[in-house]
Amino acid sequence: MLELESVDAYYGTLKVLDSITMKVDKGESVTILGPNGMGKTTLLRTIVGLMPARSGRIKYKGKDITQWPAHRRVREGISLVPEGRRVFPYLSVEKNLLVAAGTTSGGRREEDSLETVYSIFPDLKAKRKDLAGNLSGGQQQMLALGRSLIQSPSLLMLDEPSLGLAPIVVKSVYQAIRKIREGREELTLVVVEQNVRVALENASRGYVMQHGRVVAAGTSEELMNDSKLKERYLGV
Amino acid sequence: MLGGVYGVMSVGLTLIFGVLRIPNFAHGEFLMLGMYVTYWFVVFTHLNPVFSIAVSAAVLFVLGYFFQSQLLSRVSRQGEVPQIFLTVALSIFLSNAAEILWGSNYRIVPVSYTSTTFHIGLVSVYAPNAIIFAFSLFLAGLLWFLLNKTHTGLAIQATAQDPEAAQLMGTDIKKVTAVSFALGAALAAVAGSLLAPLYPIFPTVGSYFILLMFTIVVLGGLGDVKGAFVGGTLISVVLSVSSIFVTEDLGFALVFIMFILILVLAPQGLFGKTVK
Ligand SMILES: Nc1ncnc2c1ncn2[C@@H]1O[C@H](COP(=O)(O)OP(=O)(O)O)[C@@H](O)[C@H]1O
Ligand SMILES: [Mg+2]
Repeated sequence: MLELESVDAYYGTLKVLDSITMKVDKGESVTILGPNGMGKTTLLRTIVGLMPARSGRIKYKGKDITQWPAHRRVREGISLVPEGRRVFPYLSVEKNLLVAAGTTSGGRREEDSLETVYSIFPDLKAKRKDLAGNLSGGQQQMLALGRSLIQSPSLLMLDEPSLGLAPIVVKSVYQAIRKIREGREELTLVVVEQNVRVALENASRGYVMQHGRVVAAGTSEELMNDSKLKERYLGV
Repeated sequence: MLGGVYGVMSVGLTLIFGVLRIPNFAHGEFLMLGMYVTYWFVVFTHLNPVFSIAVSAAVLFVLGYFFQSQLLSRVSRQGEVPQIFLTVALSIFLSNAAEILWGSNYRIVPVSYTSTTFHIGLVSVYAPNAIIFAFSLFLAGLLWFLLNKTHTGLAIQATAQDPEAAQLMGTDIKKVTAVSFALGAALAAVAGSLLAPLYPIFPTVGSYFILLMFTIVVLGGLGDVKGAFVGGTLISVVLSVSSIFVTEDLGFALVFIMFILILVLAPQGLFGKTVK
């Protein structure tokens, strides 16, 4: 589904991704762990095309997409719920969703896709005429998820979906994520999290990043039980 | 009565600012070109000048699209300043090109709207102004529909608010940026066509309007589409009231003073946005 071969990325002269190689299969749920500033966000941005890969190759569904612009990758089914949610503050909830729906290549009817999103996030339906900027943090996260969901992605990437949310809201965010996965066995999920426990509970595999490199990889169980690893890289 | 058309000529400036984050210093020249399109249209076809609106909108849309996608976009990675200089260069180029092509003489659109005046109750209305007003309202409605009810319009708004997030929604922001600039240019041209029968037309006429446009746009809040129409109406009131008491030149001075005052006292425009 997704394959990275020694991908490098830079901010100016600062190397932020250092020869990243990873492979994610269709239907998998993978998490990327690591403390702040290690390059997790940059990795997701590079996969979706907001950042160029200076060297290396990115393959998606067997195609080399390294040179594709972001909008093309999105239309082909790669979706990112960005760090900080990034909803359009001066657009209503419904218009936020319509912006995302307008670009789906599937051609499903808009109304249907809106209803699908509203059935998973009833709160959004109640607020659909409100400006997105006036929603609470948790509701904005739901909207950000809804925008991605309405694109009917094959590869869904989430960047710290629990950042800055109260524990009870985090719980409902992950409930929503599980709901999204129900009946979508084909959906591939890549989640970046600082909250190691929550992340490993919701994924089957994980990668650990340190200074732009992948320093460890394994199944959730392996990572969970590796106390040295946790001490050294994850600080728990 | 001219408030509406002041809104139309300024709303393109605010639209371009919203998406490209640059003031377009060639906006007055876009309006000037719209006036000339109307002039030549009427000279050749002898039709009512209102029919030239479609022509000038189309010409300036194409010119605007070409200018943004072929020139501005090439320097956009270096930030705003080189783009701003390019719009200044375009402004100088266009007014000089107009002078070379059509000379510096004042031109008057040969047939004008019927210059009758009609009465509604106690108010007497000058027919051309009524036509301009009606068209401006229509254009404002059309623009509202375009921005809020079409995918392109929503993509323009999304790109203005967060270009990266817009890309994540699958928006081709290069295209949206070019379309926004083109649309802004077309709106200026339409305003030029509407005003052409009322004003003498000459190559530097754009510089006469650009101050008005900038004042209206900062009054309404940079990037605020509704604000541009409210600002346009306010400015037209200021100008017509001051023309009763003082000369028109002093009215312009007054506009300029307002411009400075707003920048100093309320740089966000008079109408704050509604997100807390
Ligand atoms: N816009 C930027 N400009 C320059 N450096 C950046 C920028 N964004 C992130 N960085 C740097 O890149 C590194 C990786 O950042 P990031 O990918 O955001 O890490 P993470 O998501 O793991 O916290 C950090 O050292 C950060 O300081
Ligand atoms: Mg991050």
